[in-house]
Amino acid sequence: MRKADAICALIILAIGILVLCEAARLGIFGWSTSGPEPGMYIFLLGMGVSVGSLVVLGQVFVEWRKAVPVKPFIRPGGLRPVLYVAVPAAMMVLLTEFIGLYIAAGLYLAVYMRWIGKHKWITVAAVSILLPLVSYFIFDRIFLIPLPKGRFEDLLTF
Amino acid sequence: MSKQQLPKSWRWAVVAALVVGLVGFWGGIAAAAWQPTKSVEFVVPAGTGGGADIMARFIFPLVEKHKLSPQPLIVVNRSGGAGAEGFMHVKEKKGDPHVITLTLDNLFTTPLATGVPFNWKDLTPVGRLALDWFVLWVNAESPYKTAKEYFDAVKREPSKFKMGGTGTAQEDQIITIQMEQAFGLKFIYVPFKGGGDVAVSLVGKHTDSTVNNPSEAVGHWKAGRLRPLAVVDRERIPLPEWDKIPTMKEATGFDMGYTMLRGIFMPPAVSKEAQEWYVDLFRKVTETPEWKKYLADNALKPAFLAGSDYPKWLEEKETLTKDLMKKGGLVK
Amino acid sequence: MEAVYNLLIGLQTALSPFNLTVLVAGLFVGTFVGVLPGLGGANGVAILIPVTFRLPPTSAVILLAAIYWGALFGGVITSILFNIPGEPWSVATCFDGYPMAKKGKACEALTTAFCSHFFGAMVATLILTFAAPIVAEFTLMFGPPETFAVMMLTFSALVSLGGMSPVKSVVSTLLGFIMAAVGIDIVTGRLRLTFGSTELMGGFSFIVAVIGLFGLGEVFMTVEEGLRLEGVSVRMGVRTVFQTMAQLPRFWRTYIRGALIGCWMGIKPGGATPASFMSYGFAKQFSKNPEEFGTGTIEGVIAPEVAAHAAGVSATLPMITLGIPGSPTMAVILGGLMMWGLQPGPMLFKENPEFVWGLIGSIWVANAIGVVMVLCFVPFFASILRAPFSILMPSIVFVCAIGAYAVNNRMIDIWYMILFGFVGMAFKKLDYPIAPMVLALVLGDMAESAMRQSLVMSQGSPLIFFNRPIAGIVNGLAVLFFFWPLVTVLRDRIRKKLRAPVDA
Repeated sequence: MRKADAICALIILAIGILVLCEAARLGIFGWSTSGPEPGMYIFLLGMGVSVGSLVVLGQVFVEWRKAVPVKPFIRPGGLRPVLYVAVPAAMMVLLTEFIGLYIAAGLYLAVYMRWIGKHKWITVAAVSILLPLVSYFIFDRIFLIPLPKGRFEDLLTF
Repeated sequence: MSKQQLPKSWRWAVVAALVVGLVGFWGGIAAAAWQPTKSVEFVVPAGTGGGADIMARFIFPLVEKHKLSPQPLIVVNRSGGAGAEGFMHVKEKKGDPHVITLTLDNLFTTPLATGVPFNWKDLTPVGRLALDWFVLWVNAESPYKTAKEYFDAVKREPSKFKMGGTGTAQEDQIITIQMEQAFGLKFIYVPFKGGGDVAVSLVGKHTDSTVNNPSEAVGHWKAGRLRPLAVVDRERIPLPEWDKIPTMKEATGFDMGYTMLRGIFMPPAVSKEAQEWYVDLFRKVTETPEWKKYLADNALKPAFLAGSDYPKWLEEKETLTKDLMKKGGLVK
Repeated sequence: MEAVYNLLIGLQTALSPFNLTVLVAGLFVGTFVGVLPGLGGANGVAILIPVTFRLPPTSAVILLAAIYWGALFGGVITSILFNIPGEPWSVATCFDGYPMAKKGKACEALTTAFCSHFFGAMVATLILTFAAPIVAEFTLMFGPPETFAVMMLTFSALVSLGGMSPVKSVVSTLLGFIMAAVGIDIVTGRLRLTFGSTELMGGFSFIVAVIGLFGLGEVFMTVEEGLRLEGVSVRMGVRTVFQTMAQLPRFWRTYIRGALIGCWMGIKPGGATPASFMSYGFAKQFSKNPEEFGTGTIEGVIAPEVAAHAAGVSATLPMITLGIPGSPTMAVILGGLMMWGLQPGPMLFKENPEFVWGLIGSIWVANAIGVVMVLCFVPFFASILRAPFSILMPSIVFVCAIGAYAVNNRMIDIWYMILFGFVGMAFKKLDYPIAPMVLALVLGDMAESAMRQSLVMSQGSPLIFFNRPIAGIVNGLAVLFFFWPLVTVLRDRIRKKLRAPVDA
């Protein structure tokens, strides 16, 4: 938990510094007749975030020294199920870039239901084919929102 | 889901796949006379509710009603970075004939003001649909009856009068700077998100004047809340009621003109056939009675232009805009 | 009473068999598009505009408006069931609605939400019917300084949304503001925080962030905790619906406060989303048991829902009186008005009264029918939760992905959604509160432009926020509410001191 807290604070600090750099590029100081300079507002935001994350880091450090007992960031054995959800989901998005959302989602549904859910093949096939198909009709056909189809786009021109 | 139904849906899918293949094949043969084979992405490089957006959303049902296209035009807003996001998106769709965009003058002003690597020459011009007038408005309760009276008042007290306008370093500010330089004035230019907000801020007396397009202010004018002082063009608007508003030259003696583009573009490197199909489509759109009524209701200048004259006009317009922006110190 | 007479004519129009059919059809479509995240009233309306050519204008606007009312109803369903807000204004409903569903009280939560919606909408319709012209004048008094003051008042609700650690609450809020700042600087017209990328020019979409932070984050949390959620045991049935309804009048204070906030914010200048947050924040601050908020209290569902729907309905007012669309859906309807040759704006009431009153009549009818319709479906919606988790979960992820994409038709948004899912989980575990970040993201842009426009108007003098009557009063209230927790502490102390001699 403490480690995660520190890492998180460091990431936020990095964001804060990035914002500060951008503020410097736009011009920070001064209060002209049109109000503050363009960089002023984001300078304040960047400064606030950076200082805040440093304070959090300090708190973590103090707790570390005191060795206050804390809960672990991830419950023992909790990481695996999260990865089981997250990795296929990320794979689905990656695949969407190539084969489109519908097919990628069908595969994702099938994989998850079969290996994690241990459902019967028949249920797996039904859900993973019907759900994308129904979504296709709702979004692409009825509401005219073309969802990404990747390389298959040219085959699906109807 | 029972066991019997599943093979059925499979068979169905096979049939569907066959149909798709056939249609695709047939589409390939028919490529000589090009027409869209899937829905067309109609990119609006502005937010919902603005002039470009309303026009695009007006064209979509119009095309449906008159069955001008076998496929629908789907309006998609990409308003980020004063339209830069939309332009870059269309530019990246190189060779895709199923993307078009409707743009205003931000086609010229946005790249100049933000330094985004984009120029209208990166796109394929299709046609100019109309031009938009600009009118100088004040609140109807203000004492100024003519543009001259108003400018004299502004001259007496520099940096006191507030000019409301849409965005920064865009047409409204360009016109404001033009006025300032021509008459030796100093306004406080207050940028708003959209033309509707600009008009309402003037009705609510939060600003002293605006250079709203006619369509943005017409309702308030009819309701007696706003007063038009001058048209920023060389000729009067040839529509009933509107023709009573004097031109800048008549009102102040200084010749000043600025009209805004409402034009259609496609991504770069699209086929000639596709380009021609869209030119034809939009020519038909501009010939419908609904379109003519729409232009008259919103006091837009009917000015359809396509073919080789269009890029030539764009070139001139770009030079003019660039020149005005440089003079006003708006180029990054 | 001219208004009553006009209203009766309007109701007569709305209740003709044909218009009634159109209205019910619209409500169905609207509820449906509202349920799906990323698909909103604007899509439903846009798609039906071609159909409306075959209808007379009044029926056409009734159809489009019914979609809008339906979408308002639908947005809340996924918030309560899956922690995925279908529409931005249902985010605040997640805070207590979802915990209620988790406890097996999905039916109660949905019933409460729908009834609150109905109440809010009705109050707003009353104002719309009888006070539209007066309210339109009131709207005009809001310039940038006043808008900024209202934003400040909304932010004062943040105080009650914070978590255990004040530093982390501040950091979370500021991160929200930073995300809102990505894109273009309105005053100078320069790009900022885009680092030369086209993708970043569009900024971060609020609904994408929310789908990730709430919906996906919750999915991650659930699996990590090992809760397999094999179908929550949901109490459902018509009796539960009626029992819940019987409880609601006890919360009349929350109802009235929420409805007033909603009407105000819907008309000017915030809209439904800030209204729901403000109402939630105030309900918590004034509640006798603020600690129960966020754990699934019924008041926490009432407050945002009443306000959001009062705002949703009253947002029609600026459109018909001033011609400014209050939401994207309204913008599309506005396009439709022009298509039928009507000019939206101050003249609409005078030139096309039958049209305006038909629309107003349809709001009355649509809400009455709509609430009965959705209440009938409550047990059905709640029963979705009984589906096995291993089917439900990947389906939720799929629907989230569609939603994230459909908002702006951008692939990058699906990646953002997954990223926000992890951020949501990490923040929840590390006690960074998410709600303030989301509120800052949705209002940051509006608040910043209002502030900077004001400063341009005053030539850089911050006095403009205090020397204009409305801005001054609202800013004063904002300051008061920022320090409200301190005020209550002080009050309690003084009371104790006063009471001490009596006790002794």
